[in-house]
Amino acid sequence: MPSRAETPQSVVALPLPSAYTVLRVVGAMLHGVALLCMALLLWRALSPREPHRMKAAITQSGALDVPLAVLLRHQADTIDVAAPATPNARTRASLRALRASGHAPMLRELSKLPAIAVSIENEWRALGGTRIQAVGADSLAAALVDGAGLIDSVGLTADGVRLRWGPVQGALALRTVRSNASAASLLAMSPSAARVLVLGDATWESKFVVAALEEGGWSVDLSLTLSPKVTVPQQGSVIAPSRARHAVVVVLPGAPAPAMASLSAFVRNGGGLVIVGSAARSASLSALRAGAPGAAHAGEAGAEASGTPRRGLDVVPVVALASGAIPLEVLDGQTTIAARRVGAGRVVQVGYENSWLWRMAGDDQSPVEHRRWWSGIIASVVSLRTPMRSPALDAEHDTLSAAPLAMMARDVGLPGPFPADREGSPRFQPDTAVDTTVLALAVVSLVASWMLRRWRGLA
Amino acid sequence: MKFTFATVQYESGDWDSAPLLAANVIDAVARYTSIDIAPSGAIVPLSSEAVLRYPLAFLTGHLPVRFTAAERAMLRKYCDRGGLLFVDDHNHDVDGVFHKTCTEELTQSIGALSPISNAHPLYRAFFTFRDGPPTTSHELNGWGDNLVHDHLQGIERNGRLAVVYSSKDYSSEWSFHPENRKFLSVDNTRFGVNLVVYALTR
Repeated sequence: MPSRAETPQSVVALPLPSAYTVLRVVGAMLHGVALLCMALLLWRALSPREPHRMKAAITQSGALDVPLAVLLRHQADTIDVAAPATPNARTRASLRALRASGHAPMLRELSKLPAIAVSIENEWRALGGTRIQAVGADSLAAALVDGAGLIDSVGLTADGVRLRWGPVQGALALRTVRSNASAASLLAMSPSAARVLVLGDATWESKFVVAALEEGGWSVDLSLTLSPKVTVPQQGSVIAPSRARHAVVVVLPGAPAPAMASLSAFVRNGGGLVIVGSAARSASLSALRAGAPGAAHAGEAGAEASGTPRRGLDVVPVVALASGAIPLEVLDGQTTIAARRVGAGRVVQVGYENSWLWRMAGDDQSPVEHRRWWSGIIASVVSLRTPMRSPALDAEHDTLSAAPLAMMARDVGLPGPFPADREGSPRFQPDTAVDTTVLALAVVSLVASWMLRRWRGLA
Repeated sequence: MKFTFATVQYESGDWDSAPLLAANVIDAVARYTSIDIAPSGAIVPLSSEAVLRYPLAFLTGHLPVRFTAAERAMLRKYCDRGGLLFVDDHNHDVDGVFHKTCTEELTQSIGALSPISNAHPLYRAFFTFRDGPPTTSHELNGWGDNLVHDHLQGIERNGRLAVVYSSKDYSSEWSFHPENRKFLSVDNTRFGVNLVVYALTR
């Protein structure tokens, strides 16, 4: 019987790897995975990315077909906005907001809309006359429309088409006939919207200033002194200037004292003030007037019917101009009209005291010229900073912009074509989920690798 | 420049039939208001450019009125530019020659007369006359046409009265000696003040 030592060794017992070795290998693998993940993340970060694009379009009504909230939620790098129709004011504001928040909306297909522009301004003549200018590509057919309907059709030219028209209802729109382009313009201030308060006493000058302004389309309130206890209108107390109601105050000699107290605040808050003749001597106006009133002198007899009618009027010249004041009319070396700014308002000081004589005794054109002259003086002090628009009108004319394409280019940039599909080096779409998963894997691998190292030491 | 009460002189008729009227109206305006008024009135030919310097003018008479071509043209110009002509029939007689001829002339020169509402601002311009134009003693005494005229008549330009026509004979009513004002229980020239104030403020 063979001894135990003679037993043949047919099976070689290999030594099992120790726990230490296993942990070491697994740890190295996890380490490798973590490094791989981090390398992947680094590669993804450094590789060129295809920007995240969204598409939107402007509908026929001028609105965006995708709500602004949706566009913001998607955090797109670029939003391609197809613009086959003129964007309205709300759409332009939305695109401006997107640009400001870093989403860079790009207008596409805008070139299909012809560039047109329209403007309207008061002509300051009787019954609210207006002057209209429209510009577009040569021979482009367009229609001028206001709130009451079609005004006229025009063949546009690059040099501009000019029209004189009567009063318009609401906003004036220019619409091209074949394409869907439109532009609209609104009067900054209509004469009927800007009330004028005339303060003075009962004289022919008061009467004819009021008559000229009313015939020129202005709405006039008046407060005239008739006696120490009676003013016009008698139904109420003296009318005080109010920015809520009045755009301009005309102060004639003899104005009721209670109405003068609030003039300074009225002007500093943006109101217009016209001081006539010796009314400038009032202490209430010393801080507002454009200059000191000089010695009064009579007009040239009969000159009111000449080619220079204002020579025939009595005048209190403006002397010692206040700081910042400028002369607007100088006759025979004397300043007869001067202007200055006070706070947010404007002041014009007129030296002439009896302009009514120009209207009554002047030549055949004098009533019209007198009316225009007074309308011009009032218009020169009306503040355009606070146009008295009707909120309902603004809501109705949401597309209000005199040159919408130019406004778009200013606000959002020049339009371009839609980008073509790119070929060449592969680009990936940014995917936050992939990046998060890879990062999580790297972190888990590193933590596990660290823990295995600890266990290996214990083993 | 002071307000001056002007009486219109025309070629036909008796334009100066109420010589004391101007002084009494001036006195009333000075008495009740602070309007800077000239102490004496002016007389201006209707055909003269000078009438344009007096945007309120008074015209009266008893006799037939026939304006010359120059007077018609100037009257038209006067009203178109904002003047106010106050015409009073000194006859107080709707069938009389002044009324017939003067209304014809006014219609031909400016336009047709129409009644002025008794709620017109003219009757509240300074004093308040709730029933329209105040009556005159000539109306109440039944002289002339034996009528109390309820309305004045007028012609408007640009929303303002350009002509006020009266058949009430204010020419007689207001043409008294100034010393006699103290005998009036109610000053009968108060409506004259309203006319002046209306002309100066509207």
